[in-house]
Amino acid sequence: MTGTWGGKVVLVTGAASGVGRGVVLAAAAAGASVALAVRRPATAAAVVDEVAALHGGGETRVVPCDLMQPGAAAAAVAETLAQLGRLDAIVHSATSNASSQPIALEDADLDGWAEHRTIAVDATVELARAAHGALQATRGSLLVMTSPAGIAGNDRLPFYAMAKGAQRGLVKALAREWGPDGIRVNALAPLAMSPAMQSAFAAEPRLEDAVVGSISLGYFGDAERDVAPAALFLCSDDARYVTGQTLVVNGGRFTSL
Amino acid sequence: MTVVAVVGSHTPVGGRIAERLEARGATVVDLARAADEPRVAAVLHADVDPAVYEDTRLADLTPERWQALCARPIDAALATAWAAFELLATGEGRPGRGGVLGFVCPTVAMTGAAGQVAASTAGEAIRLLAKSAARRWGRFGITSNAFALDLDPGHGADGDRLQVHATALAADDLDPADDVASLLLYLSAPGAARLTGATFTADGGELMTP
Repeated sequence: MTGTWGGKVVLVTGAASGVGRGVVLAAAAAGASVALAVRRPATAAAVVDEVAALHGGGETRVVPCDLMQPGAAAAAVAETLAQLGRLDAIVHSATSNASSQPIALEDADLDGWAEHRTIAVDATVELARAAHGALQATRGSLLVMTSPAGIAGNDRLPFYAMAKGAQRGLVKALAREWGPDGIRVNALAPLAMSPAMQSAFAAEPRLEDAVVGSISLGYFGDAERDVAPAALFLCSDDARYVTGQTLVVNGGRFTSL
Repeated sequence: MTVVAVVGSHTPVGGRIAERLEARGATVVDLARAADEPRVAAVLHADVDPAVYEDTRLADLTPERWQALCARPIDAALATAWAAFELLATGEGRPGRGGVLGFVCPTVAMTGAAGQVAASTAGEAIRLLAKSAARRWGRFGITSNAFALDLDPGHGADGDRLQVHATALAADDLDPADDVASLLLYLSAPGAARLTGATFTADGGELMTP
């Protein structure tokens, strides 16, 4: 897919690390210009340097975007259009900082749910409303990062499961609504090493062995090499007949879809 | 005598289910009174606001409407879940005797539909609440399931939902309230203790998930 994104623009939320970083690097390597939407702009500096070291990549812009703030997602879309002139894909990868923090449902409260909902769900709607016209002009694509937890539920991450499930419902409905406008909407459920997972494994070393043991392909995915190509595929013309779907990219750990 | 707390008996869907539960011999109470009933066997969240299922396109989903059509229904389902836990949870010195938690969800949560972004989003969040509660609260004697009903009267040009009903029942005899009531009472019986985390679709076979 190298070079097929020349002249195109991708907006990535959660772009400073994990899957978001992986998508930024893959999109840039394929020739796209990329807007990195991040809560703290300084955190994106390393990714910007990595893109600059690539050959043939387009421009990058760092767009401050605190998704907990109403209007921030829409502002990120507007800034991307102002600086890069068009929008071909949005990859919504940002997630709550509490995503991997276990909670007991019976001890949780609405405040805890509100953060998950705001970033995963409300922000997706705001991004979509703001970007509709631009995506319609390019017959572009919205891709939302979800999780198998949003399909099967989770006993220790109930709010994360609810948020990821909500995203899947949103993706399906929006795909049907936007199909006549030529805009595709999909979800991708990845498994890739992230700073949060590294922290969790450091705290509980046996956990990593247990997780890897349940992955059919036998290794933890890499955001750039294993997940991002699938994300770019879903956003590309190669997937022009794919919409409303969830692609699970986790080495065969989850096969219950 | 099975005692069921129904949240949303003031709504058309919740009210019909409550009626069918009573017709089948159950005592139906609202959640506020349930704490006075020592024998509550089930809590059903059937708080279905018809406004959520009106055709509302994304362009019309202002932040205020989004709160009303999506955020608040999810918050309400969470409130019911927590209240149900207090009533039903057993073990670790808790006063409950175990029981059944149920959530009415729209089938559009599983399929999506144009004009139903809020309903699909909220519905799927609630269905995942049901599953996550099943995984977490089984240890407290609580089973948790979803009942998926066709709550969207519009039925836009939606591929999945153009399937004809599989049942021989006439189209105007497809009120699922009786099915939900009878299934909830069955789930409240001892023999159904392993039925948890499921979604039971009561729509005459219109939607058949993989």
